[in-house]
Amino acid sequence: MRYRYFIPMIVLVGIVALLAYTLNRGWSTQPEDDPTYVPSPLIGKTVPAFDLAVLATPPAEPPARFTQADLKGRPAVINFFASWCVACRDEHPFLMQLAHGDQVSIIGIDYKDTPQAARRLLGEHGDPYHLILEDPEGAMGLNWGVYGIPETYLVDAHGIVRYKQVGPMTPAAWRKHFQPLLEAAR
Amino acid sequence: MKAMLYMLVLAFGLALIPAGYAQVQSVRPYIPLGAEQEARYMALLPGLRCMQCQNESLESSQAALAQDMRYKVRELIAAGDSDAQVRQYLVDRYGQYVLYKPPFQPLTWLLWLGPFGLVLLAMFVAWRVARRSRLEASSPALDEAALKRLLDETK
Repeated sequence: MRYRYFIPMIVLVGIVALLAYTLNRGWSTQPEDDPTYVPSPLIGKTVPAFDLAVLATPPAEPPARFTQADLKGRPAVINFFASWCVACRDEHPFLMQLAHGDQVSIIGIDYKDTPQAARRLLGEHGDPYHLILEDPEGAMGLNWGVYGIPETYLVDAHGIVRYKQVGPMTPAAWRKHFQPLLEAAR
Repeated sequence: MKAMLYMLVLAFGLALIPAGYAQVQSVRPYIPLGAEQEARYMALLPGLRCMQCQNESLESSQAALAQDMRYKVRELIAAGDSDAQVRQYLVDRYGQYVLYKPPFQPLTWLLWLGPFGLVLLAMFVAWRVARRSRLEASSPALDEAALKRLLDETK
């Protein structure tokens, strides 16, 4: 019965192991396992309303508007980016690859940026977007719960938010979270 | 003379840094609040988290997102929202993580009541231990038959 005295130590080791495991889940490649990841409360809800100017080259006067009503009918991929956003450059080549591939059309939200800077960026590195909307004040970003761009939202054909990727889009995240819904809708 | 030359080079160098690589922080019109509203605004900020920095409140953070969130709180208060409505606005968009003080609800029962449960458990264990040692101290009588059995076994 002497080993009874080891029980508290075993419990302690177990607790430490559990804490160490949960603390270090950031090593994993899943965004949900990143301890700084904040899940979006918008998932499963209707997209928040927005009404933004379309960034056109050359600039149109007055610029066309785009609202949440224009999203309806097919799934949409909405990517918040900016010319000043360094992490956005990490995902840019992959977005270009998606744009060159099959029928994925990405809507870009130019977050807290100027049209001139966005045009310059896309002129230099290529434009992966089907459509770009200007959010100079970050109003749509705030309304959508954006806290660190790049962030990419998946909205289904009924206008329901289905997924949010925080941080650069990766091929793995795309395959796992975006592709199934987009393919089902095709 | 040399210092002036350095300054000229520095000024020229700064001018070469491409404009537009910084986040645009537009100057927005100041929203005036009444004394009572201003007090509510100041009282709300420490309880709200800056989502960008995650360890700073909206009161202390100078991050761009914190400025935007503060501005939104001002806007909502100016529009006549109650404290609860302002908090709900942010929770709807950022989740309860935005609140420093989590609300008391089924999901957080363990969080709020857990410490009290642990104290009760500790008191129960302490009572058990104390009772047993008291019993042992008060009844040193041995089970002679059991002792004999044990001794016989080892023979």
